[in-house]
Amino acid sequence: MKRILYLSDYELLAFRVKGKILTKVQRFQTTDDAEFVNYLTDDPKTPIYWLIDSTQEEYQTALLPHVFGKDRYDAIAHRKKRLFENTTYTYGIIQGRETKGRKDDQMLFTALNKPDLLQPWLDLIITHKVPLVGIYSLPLLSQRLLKHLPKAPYTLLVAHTPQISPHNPAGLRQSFFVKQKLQFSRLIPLNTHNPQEYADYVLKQIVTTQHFLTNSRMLPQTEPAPLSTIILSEGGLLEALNQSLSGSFSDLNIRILDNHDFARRLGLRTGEIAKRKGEKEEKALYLCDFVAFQLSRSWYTKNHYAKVADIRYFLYRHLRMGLYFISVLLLVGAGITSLTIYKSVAAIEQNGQKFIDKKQQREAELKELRQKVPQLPIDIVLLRTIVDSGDYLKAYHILPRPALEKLSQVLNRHQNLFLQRLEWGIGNSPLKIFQPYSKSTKTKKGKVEPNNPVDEIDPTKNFIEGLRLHGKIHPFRDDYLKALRTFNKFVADLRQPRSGFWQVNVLLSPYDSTQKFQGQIGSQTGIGKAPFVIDIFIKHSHGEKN
Amino acid sequence: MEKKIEEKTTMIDLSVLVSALIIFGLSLIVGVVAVLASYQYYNHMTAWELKQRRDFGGVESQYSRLQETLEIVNNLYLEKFNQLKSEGFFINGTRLTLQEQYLKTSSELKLILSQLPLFKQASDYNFSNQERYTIPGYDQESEFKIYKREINLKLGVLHEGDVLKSIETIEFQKLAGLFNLQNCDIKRNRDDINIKDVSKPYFNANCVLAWYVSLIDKSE
Repeated sequence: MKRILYLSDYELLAFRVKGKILTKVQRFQTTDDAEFVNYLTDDPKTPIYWLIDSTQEEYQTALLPHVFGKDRYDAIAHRKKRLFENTTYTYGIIQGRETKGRKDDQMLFTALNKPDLLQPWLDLIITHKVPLVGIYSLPLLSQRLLKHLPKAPYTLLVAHTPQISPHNPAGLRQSFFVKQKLQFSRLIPLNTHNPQEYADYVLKQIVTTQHFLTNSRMLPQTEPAPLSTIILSEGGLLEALNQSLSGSFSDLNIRILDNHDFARRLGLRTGEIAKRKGEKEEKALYLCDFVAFQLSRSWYTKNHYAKVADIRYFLYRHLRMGLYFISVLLLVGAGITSLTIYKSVAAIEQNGQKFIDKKQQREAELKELRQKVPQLPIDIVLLRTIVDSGDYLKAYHILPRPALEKLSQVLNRHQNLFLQRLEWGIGNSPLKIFQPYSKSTKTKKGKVEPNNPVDEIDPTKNFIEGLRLHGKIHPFRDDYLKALRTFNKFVADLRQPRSGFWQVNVLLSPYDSTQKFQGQIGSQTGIGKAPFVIDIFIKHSHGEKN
Repeated sequence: MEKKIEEKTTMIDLSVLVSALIIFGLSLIVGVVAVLASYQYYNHMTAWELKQRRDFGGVESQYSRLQETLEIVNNLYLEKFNQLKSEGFFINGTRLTLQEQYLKTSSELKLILSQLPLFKQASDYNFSNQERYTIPGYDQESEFKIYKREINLKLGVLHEGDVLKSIETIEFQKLAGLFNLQNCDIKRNRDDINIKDVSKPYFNANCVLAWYVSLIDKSE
């Protein structure tokens, strides 16, 4: 719903527009009347659009240099000040540009020369803190009606207005437009209800206006005059106008439209008209009805006369709405954020509950398990360490007997071999068991088993048992060939595959290739010896049992 | 000019904005409180969930420990432990101290050696100093500590088999602790054997027997 006030020199009318229905709600003639205050206080929130339709409104067209920004603002302000010295209610609008010359801006300046007309009403509106959207010039807004009327470059719109003084029943407004832009407007009283007198009066006024426009060079001085006149009228007046036009005013380019037809064309429907006590119901349509309706249909209309202070409660309303909107946004935002958080919390709670359930289940299992497990004397980790350590050390518990018995069996098959010394030991590597043999350099490379696996053992898993045999061929009769054969047979027997791993390394052989033979022929002296040294390594694992 | 001044000095009428400002303020407070409360609740629930997780972790850990214990029991660990204890490898604090155990073992060994078929003049023994022994791959910082002493045996025997018999006899006596023969060096003194001449040893053997005992030492 929109609320529109219409102020003429005589009265103030209040309109209400709801959808396409325009209703005259109330009329006020003096500000002393408490009715206006009641009207304002009854609905202090709905903003007011205020139309001014006064004889005291002045129109001036002018050219201004085509400038922008602050320069334009200053130029317009300066011109307004110069044109209208005695009023603060002024307005300037650019209507186009010259096509020739400096191409200046074509401006229309308007002013309300009698601010006292609206000031008391305005004071009341401000006092009651009713939001005022703007104060609008009715003639300026009437140019919006032209799009619904026959188009012409020069148009004179003639329409009725409500009463403009206590002595006249109505008013007649003539507005002149060039290219659909207002140039000039004139409001005169209508003194008669007689149709014929009315028609003659209206047409005479049109002729007068046409002469004025021509004389003031607002209308080109061509024959016939290019002015297209549109009269909005109604009832019996229409017939009288038509009759007069066919008579002495036949040279005028005039179109007469029925107000009600025009209202239908606009989509305007009039509601119940309010009336004061004793007044007849009024069904006549005026220019202000059309303009008010058009004003109500537009989303935004630029304010003409109201100053910032006049519309401050409308601005406050905007601010208030903004604050409410931000408040709603805040609450909605907080609500969404909280909801999102609560959603996460629900997931967390569900997860936590799962742990509680799992814990309860485990506790039950734990209870059962506790009954099965005996009490341990010490900490379980220590217990395990002690047992594992004991197992590790026990795995090293090897006596030489098994190895020596096997060795004995081999030696029994080789009676010429005589052991002088036997070393036995256990360790993680051959070097840790035996000292390096000093004569090992004499040993042929081929006699040491290639890819010695005992060097590659993992000390955490395996260890080695070692035997070092120091012996000689006995008896030895200087027969190295035989001694060597005996020795090699012995080594080969030692290397026979057997259970477990036996690695045999010959450190000293009864004969090596560097050895030289020399001596006295036939003599027993100088007979050499045939010693040998052999390492035997046996790999054991810690898990192995003896 | 007066009007202009009046226009400029028009004060903001807060009375028409009060309700909007109050609602805005309340919305701000309610919004902030709602969000903060939600966050607080979120933090509280996160902490609660963490606590439940930890509680469950604690119970789970107990459960795993207990299962491990059961596994140990099933794997005869407890029996083995008791056996090691009875063998004197693990010295329990309620029984002898390490030093007392050493003294006891050395005197027992002395007695055993005196009963073996050895050439007394050619035989002797000595204990090395006690040293910490660490099994490869095990935690050296553990409060469970193994100590090792080496017993160096010098044995004079008639037959090389007596060396083995002597070692086996020592082990058979079941002295406290674990004994591992580390090495033995048996040397023949004479090439020819005369069974009528038993006045001197035919073989001399130098053997090293490692003696291990363990205890729990929380002092370090």
